[in-house]
Amino acid sequence: MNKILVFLFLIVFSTLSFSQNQKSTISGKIVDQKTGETLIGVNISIKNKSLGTITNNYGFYSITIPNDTYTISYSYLGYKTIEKEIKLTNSLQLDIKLAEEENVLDEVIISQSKNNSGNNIRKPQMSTTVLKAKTIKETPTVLGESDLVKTITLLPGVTDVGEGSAGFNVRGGSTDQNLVLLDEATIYNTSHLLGFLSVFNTDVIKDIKLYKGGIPSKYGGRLSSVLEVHQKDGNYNNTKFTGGIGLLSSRLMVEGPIRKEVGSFLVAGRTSYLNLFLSLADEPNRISFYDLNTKLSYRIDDNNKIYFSGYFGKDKIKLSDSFKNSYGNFFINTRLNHIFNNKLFSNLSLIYSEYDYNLEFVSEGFEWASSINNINLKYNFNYYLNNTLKINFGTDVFNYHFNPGEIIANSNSSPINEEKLDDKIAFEPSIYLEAEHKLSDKFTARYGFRFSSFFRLGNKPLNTYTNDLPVVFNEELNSYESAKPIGVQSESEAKKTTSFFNIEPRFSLVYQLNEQSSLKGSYQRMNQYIHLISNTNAPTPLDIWAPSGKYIKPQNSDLFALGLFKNFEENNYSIEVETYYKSIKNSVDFIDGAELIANNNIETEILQGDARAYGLEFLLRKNSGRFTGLVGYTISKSEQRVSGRSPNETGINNGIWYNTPQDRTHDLSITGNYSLTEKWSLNANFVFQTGRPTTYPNGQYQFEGLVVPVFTSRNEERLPAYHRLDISATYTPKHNKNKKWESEWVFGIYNIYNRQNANSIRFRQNETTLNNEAVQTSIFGIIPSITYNFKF
Amino acid sequence: MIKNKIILLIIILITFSACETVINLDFEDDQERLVIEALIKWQKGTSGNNQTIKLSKTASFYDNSILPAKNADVKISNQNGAVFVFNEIADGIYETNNFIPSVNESYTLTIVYENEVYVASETLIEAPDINNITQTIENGDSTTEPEINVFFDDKPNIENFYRIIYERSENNGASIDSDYTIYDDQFEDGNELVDFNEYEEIAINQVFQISLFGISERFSNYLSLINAQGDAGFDPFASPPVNVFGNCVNTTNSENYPYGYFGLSEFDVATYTWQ
Repeated sequence: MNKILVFLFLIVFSTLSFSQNQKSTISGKIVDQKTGETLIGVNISIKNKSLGTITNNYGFYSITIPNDTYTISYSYLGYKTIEKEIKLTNSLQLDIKLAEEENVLDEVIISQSKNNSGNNIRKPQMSTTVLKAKTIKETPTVLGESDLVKTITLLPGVTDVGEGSAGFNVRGGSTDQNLVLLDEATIYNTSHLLGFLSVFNTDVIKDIKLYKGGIPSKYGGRLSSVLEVHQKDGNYNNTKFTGGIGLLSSRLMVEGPIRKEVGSFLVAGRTSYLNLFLSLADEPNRISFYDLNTKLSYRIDDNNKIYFSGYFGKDKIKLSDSFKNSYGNFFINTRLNHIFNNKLFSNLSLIYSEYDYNLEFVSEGFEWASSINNINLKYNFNYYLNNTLKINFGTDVFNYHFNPGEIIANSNSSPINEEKLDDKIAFEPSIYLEAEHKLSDKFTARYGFRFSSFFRLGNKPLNTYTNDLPVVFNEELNSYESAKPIGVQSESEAKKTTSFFNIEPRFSLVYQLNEQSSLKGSYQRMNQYIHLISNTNAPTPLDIWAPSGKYIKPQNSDLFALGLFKNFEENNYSIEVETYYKSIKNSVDFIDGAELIANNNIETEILQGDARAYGLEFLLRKNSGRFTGLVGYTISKSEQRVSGRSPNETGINNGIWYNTPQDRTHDLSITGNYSLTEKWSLNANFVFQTGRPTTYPNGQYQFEGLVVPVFTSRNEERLPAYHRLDISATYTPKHNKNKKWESEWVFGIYNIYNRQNANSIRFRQNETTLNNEAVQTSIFGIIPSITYNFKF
Repeated sequence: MIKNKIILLIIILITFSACETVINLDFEDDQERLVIEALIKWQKGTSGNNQTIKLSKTASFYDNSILPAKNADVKISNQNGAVFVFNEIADGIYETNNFIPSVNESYTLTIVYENEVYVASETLIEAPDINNITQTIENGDSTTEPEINVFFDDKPNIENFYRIIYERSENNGASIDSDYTIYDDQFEDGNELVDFNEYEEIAINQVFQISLFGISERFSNYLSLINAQGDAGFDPFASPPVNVFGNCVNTTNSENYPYGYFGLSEFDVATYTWQ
């Protein structure tokens, strides 16, 4: 670690020594002219110089250049480019308001937006996609409900878990390896209605950024990806209503100024009305969800801005009167932006987030409750040292509390003894330091490290096992079994903290071949200290998180990626080709027939092994014009291995590599959006994926008359290939200039050729013929939908 | 018991909107293996001398004909070295009439089949008495589900596992159906336990014969797992299907491992006539 520090300081000071006194700094904030909403990732470039920067997550930018006369251009996709001529003699603050392009069909404006991009070529950041809310809204989805998670699964390297499941897999990683942040707060479960929808209300989203690799040092704690979702601030100028009515749910958002151009608020709610249909159909079951997004922002003065955001969501399911189930995420977040000076920007965040899960069994007389919550403090600094060097540093501290489960009797007559599985407490502090460094006209690097640590605080005494092995190998039966505890830790032993320390180097480099193309490479190391305890292929709401500790080691991964980036036709098209190799140590797998529910000694079900994933991703985009769209294709492999811990042990699957459930050989998606007339726009997407790995039977036997299938080794077979085509059309009635009311109708057809995609194949004995048969379950056939959206 | 309820609920939730079709899939067959069904059952108050063991063979997945494993040498020995020999009375059916059951005694099963030796060891598990049987009708919003409730005392301070078999017959003795539940006392140690079995419909005067078995933790796991495999693939929320190994080992050739289980249980029986 010392070496890295010394290295970084050397670089910083060597750059400092070159600094000259006749330099000035231009800094400021960039906002949307109409709404006052801060804009993220706006491109600021100095004409005829290969200099530039982009706004950070809070719309702030800073650039330091020798005193001279310049033309500065501010450009942002979907906005009119502004150019300013400046005679720089002193440092100055330049706050910019950008106006949205009013009509994308206007040829003149299209040619303007061509200047736009280019950042994808110059910046070392790779393996990343930014999507605006508009793109998400335009993507056709099942039942017409626009959905963030379903949209990102159209990108190369990202696959969905299956229809009716909300999780996503990035570069062969499991769903718990994604760090999902909504306004910086960790979201533990992204699903509503058991996965039909995600928790993100599209109206509220400003934009999203998905990192599949080259993850900045600022982020850590998960192995595979970071999904950064930013909520809008709310309109600083006018009170506005946005809403929609769909088949599954309705939503309404109110935003407006608290004080014009100074403070804003936003409140948005969504609720489903499936229950209405269920009760009309005389069904005894109920399923519903609602969620609420809120945000307040206030500019205290030029250098200080405060934000409060919050989210509260809940799903409720009732089966007759006998089962009740609810689950949901909750967070509150306070953030303070402070600008120390025109070069140093800081953000301090204090976040509380929680996920909880409840089951009530009315007739059996008990309730089951589990939860995870954390308090998270982040303090991030951006230091814009000069036009070639920007330094990011900060700290990220988590305090976790895990409640793996608790049984509560709900009546006196209940035969249940109330019992609680042991709570777990952990502390995860990290610091990071990273430089974005323009080494020459051609080379730009970003390098840094994150120093992460994890402290599992002693609480209840843990069980002890022979040789400290909670899982034993049964040589006779050639299989792994839970070990029987031989005792419990002494009080003093139990109080001890188990700690882990890791350095995570991060490195990205871009070599610009010319104005239009570049080569990039990156390396990252990530550590994951909390693990999702789930033996199913898709996340269930009941999934429980467990911290690393005495028996469970942290997982870590190394990811190498190389890529070629090219823009052509005046940045109208872009191509990205990336290849990656990821290797994971201590990946979590489970013994055969693991019992994960209500298990206080979860360590007795876990085996840790290796995993690896590699692949080639191809992405072609058309960014502007009447027709926009993308073609994404990935060829990849994701597998894991659990070797024996001693020569006597064979390991899972005899220690041979086997496919992970998220392995997909081919993944193709094509999305297109065509603006037909001013009133009509058309959308389509096509998806093709290799089927998910699964295990098929290769025989059967009978035990007490029960037919028991015999299976091949783990994940050796595959489900049939998955493919479908969706289309949608958006009709926008002519906007009456005198009225504020704007509206649109979205008509969609999901899975238009009614492909019966296998969500699973199971095997059973036919009740009449008594023959064994294979049964394919498919979830969505052809589904038409209609949604009405409005704004006033 | 509680765990099973939680799993059941999750499965029900997923079936909300699924559509099922039977498809054709071809599989390569595994080699033929021995299947051991050696369940010693000792009813309270009887001698338990007569016991049966069934041996069969694995079959290909779509083949219904399960073939018996004939001409095996089958015996059980106890801790004192007493040996109880089982004779083949029909194809694959082996019987003895001199077995001596004893609670907490350890027994070893030895089978010689096609020149290979298969071995398993287990302890005979005691069973509590059935205290009471009642009937209730569970009222849902639009459904009424009759259920049978069985009460018994859990032995405190140890983990207990139970298997409760419900055999239903008409008043004239004609058998209707039979199924069982598995119960463990996690969260309920030392209490009077109540197990229940739900039916869609029960007619008046139908007779239930209920047998309460004490079983080992391992046998409990085995039964849960083979039942789960029966409808495995209830994806995406089901756990991956696995080959379930019992407690029997081929000591001659470990590659030719057997399936099945050797278990010994005491049990109590009571009958109840639906009112």
